[in-house]
Amino acid sequence: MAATAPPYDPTNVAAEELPRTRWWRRTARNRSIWLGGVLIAVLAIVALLAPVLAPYDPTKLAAGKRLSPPSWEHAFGTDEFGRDIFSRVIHGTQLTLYVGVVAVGIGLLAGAAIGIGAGYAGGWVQAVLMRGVDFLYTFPDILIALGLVAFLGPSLTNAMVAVGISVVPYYARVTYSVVLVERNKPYFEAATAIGAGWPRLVVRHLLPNIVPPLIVVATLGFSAAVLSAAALSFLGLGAQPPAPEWGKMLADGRNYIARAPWILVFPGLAIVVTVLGFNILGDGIRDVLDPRQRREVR
Amino acid sequence: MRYQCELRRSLAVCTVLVGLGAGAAAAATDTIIYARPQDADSLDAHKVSTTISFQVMQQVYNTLFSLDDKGGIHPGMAEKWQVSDDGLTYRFTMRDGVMCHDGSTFDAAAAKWNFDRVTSPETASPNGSSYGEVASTAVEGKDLIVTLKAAYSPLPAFLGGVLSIMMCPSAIQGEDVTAVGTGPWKYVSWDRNNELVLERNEGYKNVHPLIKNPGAPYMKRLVFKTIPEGPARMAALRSGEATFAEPSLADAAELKNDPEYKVYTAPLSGQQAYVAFAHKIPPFDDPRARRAVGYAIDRNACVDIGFQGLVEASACPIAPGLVGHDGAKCEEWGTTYDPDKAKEILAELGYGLDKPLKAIFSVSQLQGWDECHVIIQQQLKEVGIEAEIETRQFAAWVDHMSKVNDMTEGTPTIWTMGMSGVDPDYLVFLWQRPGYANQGIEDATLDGMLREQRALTGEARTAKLLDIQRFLLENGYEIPLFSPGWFWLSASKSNVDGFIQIQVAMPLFNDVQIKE
Amino acid sequence: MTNYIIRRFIVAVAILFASIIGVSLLIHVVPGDPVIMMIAQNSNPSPEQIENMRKALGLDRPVWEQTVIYLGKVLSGDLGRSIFGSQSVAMLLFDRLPNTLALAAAAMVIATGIGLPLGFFAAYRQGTWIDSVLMVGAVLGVSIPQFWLGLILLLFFSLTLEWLPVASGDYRSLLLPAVTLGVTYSAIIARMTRSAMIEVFTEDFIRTARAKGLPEALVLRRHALKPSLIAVVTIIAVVFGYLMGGAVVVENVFAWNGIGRIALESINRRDYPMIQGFILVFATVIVLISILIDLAYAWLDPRITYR
Repeated sequence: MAATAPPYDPTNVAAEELPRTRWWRRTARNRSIWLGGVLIAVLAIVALLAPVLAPYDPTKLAAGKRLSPPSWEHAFGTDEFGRDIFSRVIHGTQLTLYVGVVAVGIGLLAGAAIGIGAGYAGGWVQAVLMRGVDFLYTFPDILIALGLVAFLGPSLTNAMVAVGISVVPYYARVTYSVVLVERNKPYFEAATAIGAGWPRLVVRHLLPNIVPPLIVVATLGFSAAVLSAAALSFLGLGAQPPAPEWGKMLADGRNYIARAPWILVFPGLAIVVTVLGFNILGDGIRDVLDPRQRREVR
Repeated sequence: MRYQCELRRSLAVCTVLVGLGAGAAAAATDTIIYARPQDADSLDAHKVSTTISFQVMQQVYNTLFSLDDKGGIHPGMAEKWQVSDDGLTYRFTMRDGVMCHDGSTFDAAAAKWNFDRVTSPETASPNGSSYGEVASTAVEGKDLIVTLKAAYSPLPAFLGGVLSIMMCPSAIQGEDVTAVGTGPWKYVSWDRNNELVLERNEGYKNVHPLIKNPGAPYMKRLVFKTIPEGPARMAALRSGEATFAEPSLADAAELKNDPEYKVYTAPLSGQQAYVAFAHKIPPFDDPRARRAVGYAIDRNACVDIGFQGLVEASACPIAPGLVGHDGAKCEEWGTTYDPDKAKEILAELGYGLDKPLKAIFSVSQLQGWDECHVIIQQQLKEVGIEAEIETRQFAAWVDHMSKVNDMTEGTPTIWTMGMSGVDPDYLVFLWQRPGYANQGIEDATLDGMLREQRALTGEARTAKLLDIQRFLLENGYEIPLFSPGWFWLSASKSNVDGFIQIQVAMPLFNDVQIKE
Repeated sequence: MTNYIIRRFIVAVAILFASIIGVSLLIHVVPGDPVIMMIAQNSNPSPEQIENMRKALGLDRPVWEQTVIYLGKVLSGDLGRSIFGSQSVAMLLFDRLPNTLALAAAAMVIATGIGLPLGFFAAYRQGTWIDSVLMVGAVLGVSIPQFWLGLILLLFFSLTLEWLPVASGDYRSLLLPAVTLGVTYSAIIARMTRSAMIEVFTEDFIRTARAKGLPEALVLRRHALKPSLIAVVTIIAVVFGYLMGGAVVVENVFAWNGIGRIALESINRRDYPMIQGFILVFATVIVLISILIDLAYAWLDPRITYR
């Protein structure tokens, strides 16, 4: 994430009532949602159908001549092993979406748990949890991910986990702020007074308010997670050969950029398209969920 | 030209100037610039052991002896040696007039200081064990007397190789190192990860048999520059920013056919790469399983595709050019590419394409090797071994392997490794328990042979070394791959003359001249 | 105000302490023995050798004791010595820090130079096609991985056009990494500036000023400037931390000799004193910058009082 953008942090958004009326109409009219949604849908289909769509085995050595430029046989050319770059990019979509889902999933679940825990418990638990979150928030998350993966050891799984942990503070902060607002509302006190248990409170009252802002953070956070994970793989701390991970493909192709620029171009473009898709979609969702706050807030 | 724009000017002005000053200025004609992917770790000869560090230290420091291209031992800072009949006492006679860069004399006492420091447990020198088991050292006039606990015939040869280079005692002041030596180049400055500057030692007198220049180097300055990216190093070489560069493999293969360039491949490297196993963890505790891996691997594919033909396939545990290397015999004892045989053995052990043997392929990152690992992975897959590559940086890899090699159960692990030296005695270092990264083998016969070869000389030693290799190969402890394989490549324009590479891929610049 | 500054510094010191303690705990939890990595690369140390080494490095003591000793040393300005090459960590980091700061500053200049005017303009022309084009450009800008952009620039300017040397080590090698970083962050700044400015433009006092019939230039200068400056300071503050993080990655693409390269190298080697030192120095820089920004904030906006 720090590799590029600070993610959208709708702390302020969450503090306001989100108008729920006619959200679907705004959705249908929102061009960003359509554009982003279609891009993501296409990527998802490519990922699912990768084995069908890819003309070659992505790890097969010498599928064609080494370092041959894009042609009819090899749409994106071949790499230093004669592997078909098109097939590798296609299969890479699976890895990339998988990495994004896992990393965002970790951030989302852990972050929401911490946010709810801190907001609900209050007292020293809240102090410890939120100070910890604030502390992590001080550091750019690529740095946290870098540090964690260095300790965990280089592998795609560890990179996903590290990226996931590095973004926990964002989700925790958003959740926490929503919980704080809800806690102070009369219904919450009333519910507590009549002895409603906290699981019920969380499920019935907190979650519906937490979910919308989290969807925004998660969508924009997805692109950030993809970028971070690709950066880690690029630095040699993520995916291992022969996995067709895009960042790793760029790292491996570095020595050949002068003679075979296509090695560099296509995996990079694939990253751009994916990240772009989620950014556009995220922008759109934010506009829909939060029409009054069309701004980039921290 | 190079600094025509100062920082205080605006960036816009800089851009324009850079645009105009297209193509970087060439290096001054009295300076050698050597562009490498990594920087040295340290210049404390007793504390580091990486080839990349030694390539610098070789220029600043000297050894007691020097080796010719056949491994013959010639004078260095010492003139001669004598060894007692029991092989336990060595008397090294120092050469007169060997001067340190700070003006002091390098005498027997200085040599003793080196011996004592490097073999002291406190120093924890990576190279300490290669000095044999030193019992005591003493100075008698011009002589250094070294007494050993056990006979160690490779000692003089070892003292001719870069691993034994000696610093002047004034180099070490507390924790700080100033590179004071007796070599052809003097230390000037070091901006880490950027450039390390040396200047010629005007009073240098050469005795090395492979160097023609009798006096100080022809060129005035020698700069080691760190440029991590392969294409960037190439660009520097092409533009003249660098006199020498370590090319990427792809570039080297191309430059080889270009009359405007020369490519050097360290003929005396003494480097040997091999595949090894965590041999206490099943199924690789079984020699058959290890040999199956050997049959599955086509080392020529690594050489031709991975290394673009810039290394040689080598089937021996001992590197080509060293005592005891015998390619024909090694091929006979070891394994050569035969996937059917590999499948057959694996079937015997209960594995097959439908029931693959899952393993970790633990490696460290290095150019050419990365490609080779992918190729080996593919070859293993074809016979029913699914090896997952795990890449670590070298130090972390050693740490990891030290643990894995100690385990008796766990995920089957295959790994690659490279070793270099001026004498095959490094087999002791590799295989005698605990062995390198704990890979040592618990076997009395092997221990005996490793010990015995240290006391033998000539034919008898060669025979013993062959026996050791036979043991390693027949039991499949190692699958030799190729030689050389790390920091061995250099390239220059063809108007550069006199560059040589001696043992352990050490470059020498004494004779280098650039023709206009 | 003074009280606020004092409190701010206490928090800063607390963050630094927390980072020291956090890192040293993390280091000791994870596998990886620095002693083995240090001496086993080319030797077979005996158990005694390993033990001696561990003693010499103080690694045989309990974790809390090591941490306390380290804290004591830090207070006296000693960050220890690196495991590889035994160099002074403090010297090396402070030697390299100016390079990273120079890169970050140059990138910041580029990022704000492009991002602020564009963001401002987009907000001023909100809802027009200019706004749309600029914002599409901005979302594209934040979607490009920096390491990829860096490689493309390197390929184009150094290798194809041969305009820029690859490793001169002077300001010219600063150009590409600074542009790489600058471009991505300019997109972020443009987006943030736009939203902040839209808010300023819709503030009541601006509307009032316009309604009064003041000339547009005067409205902008007299009424919109100050709140905009505040927004800009906030944006710079937010982006700077991220830019420093980005610098760590980009330095490694361009071999720019800053602390980011040291970081990756020491992380790879598990050179603990070096990693600890890096995190401490990095955290210090970030915390100091955020304090400076806070002060600038207070100075710009008299409405904000700090208690």
